[in-house]
Amino acid sequence: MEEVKLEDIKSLLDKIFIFDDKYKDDILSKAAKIKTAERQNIYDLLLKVEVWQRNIYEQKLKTDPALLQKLSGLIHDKKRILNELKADMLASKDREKISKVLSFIDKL
Amino acid sequence: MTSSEQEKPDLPPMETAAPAAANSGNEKNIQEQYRDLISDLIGEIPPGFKPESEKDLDYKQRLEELHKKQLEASLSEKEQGEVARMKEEIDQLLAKASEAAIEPEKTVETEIIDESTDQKSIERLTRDVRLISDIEQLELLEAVPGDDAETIKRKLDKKKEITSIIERRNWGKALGKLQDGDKVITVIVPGADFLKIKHLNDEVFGYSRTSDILEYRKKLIEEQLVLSGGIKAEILKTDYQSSTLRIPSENVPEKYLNSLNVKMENIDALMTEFIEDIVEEELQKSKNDPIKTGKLNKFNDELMGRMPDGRTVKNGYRMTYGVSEVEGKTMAGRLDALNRSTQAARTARGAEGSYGTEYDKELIDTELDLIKELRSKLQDESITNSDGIEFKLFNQEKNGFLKINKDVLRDVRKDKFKAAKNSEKVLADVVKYVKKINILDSVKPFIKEETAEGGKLQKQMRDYSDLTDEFLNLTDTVPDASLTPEQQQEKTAAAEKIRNEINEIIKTEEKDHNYTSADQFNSKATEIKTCAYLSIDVMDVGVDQLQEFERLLQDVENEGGNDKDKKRKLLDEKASVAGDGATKKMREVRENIKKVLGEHGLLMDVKTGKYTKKDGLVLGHVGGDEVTLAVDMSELENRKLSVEDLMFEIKDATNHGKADVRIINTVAAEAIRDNKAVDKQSQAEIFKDHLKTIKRAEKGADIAKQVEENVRKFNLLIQREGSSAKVAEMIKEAGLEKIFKISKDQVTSFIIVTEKEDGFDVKAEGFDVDADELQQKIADIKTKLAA
Repeated sequence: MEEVKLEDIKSLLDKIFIFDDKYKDDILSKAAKIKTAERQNIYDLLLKVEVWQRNIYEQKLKTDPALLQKLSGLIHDKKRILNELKADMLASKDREKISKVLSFIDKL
Repeated sequence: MTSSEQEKPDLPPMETAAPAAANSGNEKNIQEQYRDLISDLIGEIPPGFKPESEKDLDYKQRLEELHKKQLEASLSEKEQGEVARMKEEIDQLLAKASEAAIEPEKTVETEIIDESTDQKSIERLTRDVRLISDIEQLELLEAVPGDDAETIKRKLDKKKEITSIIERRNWGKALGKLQDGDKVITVIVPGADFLKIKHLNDEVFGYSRTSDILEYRKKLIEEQLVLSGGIKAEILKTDYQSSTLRIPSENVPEKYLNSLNVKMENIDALMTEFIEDIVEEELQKSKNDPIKTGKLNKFNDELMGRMPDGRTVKNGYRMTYGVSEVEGKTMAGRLDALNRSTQAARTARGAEGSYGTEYDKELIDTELDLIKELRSKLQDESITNSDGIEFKLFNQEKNGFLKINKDVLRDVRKDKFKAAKNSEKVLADVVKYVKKINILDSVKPFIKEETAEGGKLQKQMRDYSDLTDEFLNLTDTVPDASLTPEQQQEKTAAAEKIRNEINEIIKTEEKDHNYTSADQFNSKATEIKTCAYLSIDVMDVGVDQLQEFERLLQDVENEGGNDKDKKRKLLDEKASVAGDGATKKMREVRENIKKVLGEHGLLMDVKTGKYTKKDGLVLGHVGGDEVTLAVDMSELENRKLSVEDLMFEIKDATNHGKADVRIINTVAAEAIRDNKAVDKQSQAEIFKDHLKTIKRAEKGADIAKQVEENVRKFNLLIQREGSSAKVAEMIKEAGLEKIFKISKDQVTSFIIVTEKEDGFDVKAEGFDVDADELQQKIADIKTKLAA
């Protein structure tokens, strides 16, 4: 059996939006310090979370068209804030920071 | 990935609304909508965004609040409850896994490691990073119209802080202050092994308390020797081993010099009391830790002079001093004064009652005679260790030079040589001899050639002094109506040039301008997401240096004959080159490392921080006989180069330069550095991990040292047997021919040590073995050979 790398756990966490960033960072930080065999258990549990999340939301999308409407307003607000941040970043001198932040924002 | 994406495990139930006219028949569309939703909802904060101001924190807060609203809008209360339950399950699993974590059980050693990452060390790193951040924007330290008095003062103080760092590196200036007739006082730390800083740091107190001791020592020297007595003394240089003071020739009261012994006695008493208090505090804290308590009590006994073998020796924190006078106006005269005061301080280490002395011709004559006497006594002797192995103490080379056995010297200087009963007296003499030949030891970052009049050291003195003066007096940020626009532009350009120079000096290592300074290293290394640390020790630097001293001292004897004046003059000459061999060797090693990194385009541009093939610095921390590199593993990946290949290349390059190096790889925890938030706590976590990762290399170094020791033991055995057949057979049986190579009846080893999840691997080209397994196999070989 292939060992579970931290990178694998991170990729999985990147798909889980029902956990906030702080909690996800905490999981990664703790996972970094434990034995590989134990990481497999964490990975399996996170996979269950991801599958649950997907099932929930796919079902909601099928049965509740208002969901996208509800969320789109909030997502629109998020994009607005990120655009403000983008403008600030462009005024900053830190080129590396700019490119990282902008590539994220531009994906949205 | 180990599980299929189609897995449908035992999951909590979902709430469903009444079916609506959705895209029920169009699964692909739903999946696409879901994917779009993920990308909209994923990540509250953009990666790489580090809140640095109130405004940034405001963004962060707003984004976090929005994310919370999004979840509340899309999940029912029951579903939110399920999320909380799943989190709990994860937390429990992590907590359980952490108990059986890869970090070893807490022993005193690991507690010391933890103490080394305590508040003080975090503060130190924070200061380093802040300094680098300041010097990258030096123009912000210039006063501008509208600045109030407080701001002007704050900016100027900051500039002075920066110039004082440069002044401390200005060895030339320190030396240049010495004038004809000035007195030089050198105070050196106690010679006892139990008081060595590394021992205090690693074994007894840890970084924080050891730092307290060093700071107190500095304070006492200032109070007792500089500020008291109404004299105009000043401290020229301080390092971990010594402090050097200057007393101007026009103000050298006899009373002050006569009172030095009493002052040093006061310092001894105060230091001892201070350290005893620390021992008491630490004993209180470690009541439930018998190992730590034992170590502290042992240390306390040694401090009080109660030795394990029942002897009572000089106790306390006994520093010694030496005084000499500058003769003449040349750099050579100043250096001689420095060397002489240090020699006098060293001779005082053995003296009863007295804490130091003025450089005295007769004293030096006596020392030289004593060294010669000891060598004559020992030159035909052998010594047997507790394993029953006999070593001939001296070997005479073709030119008549009597060279002490390197293996014996190596162990004696580290207090590791265990003598057989009948060799204990010989060992005592050898220990004395080794301490005596160390009379030539001093810490200096230059070699003799660089001290010539008008040479590198003097040039640096002039350049740095001019630069710091100019930096403190820059005015380009204040518009000057008397200047034309072109003139203003020129002024700005000139100021930029000065700032760039300051920037470069601070970021560059004082001992080796091909390397980053410690501040720059700590700042940049902690920014690398996937960082591998390569700890490179050059073997036997201290041993080779002692053998260099031995040779120089014999040159003095042979060339001086019975002419005492000539011998003293020769000693001054030899003292001025003592240590140059080791310095040159280390420079060559570092040069070779740089070449390898340069070939792979892994040097760091000082201005841009980008990687480059040339005109860049090695991102490394330069120590005495070691270098620690920080390597960006993603950069290695881009170059299709593995860490191990890089390590072998470095080892090869330094080997061709005739230096043997130990090279250990440890890896920083990526998850900690991937942290999106840069609050104080996260920054502290990154710094702690940085320090711990570097510290862990010591365990790897111990493994490498064991392999080296076994190479030596195998070779001794082969010598005794007269053939390598038996050793070769055992090594082959154990499957370790790649680790211990035999050729022409000589065992050698060419290995690297790399960290893994739960320990270290030892690797030779095309072979690797777990370090614990290797240890076991070696133990088996030894048992078989003994049988």
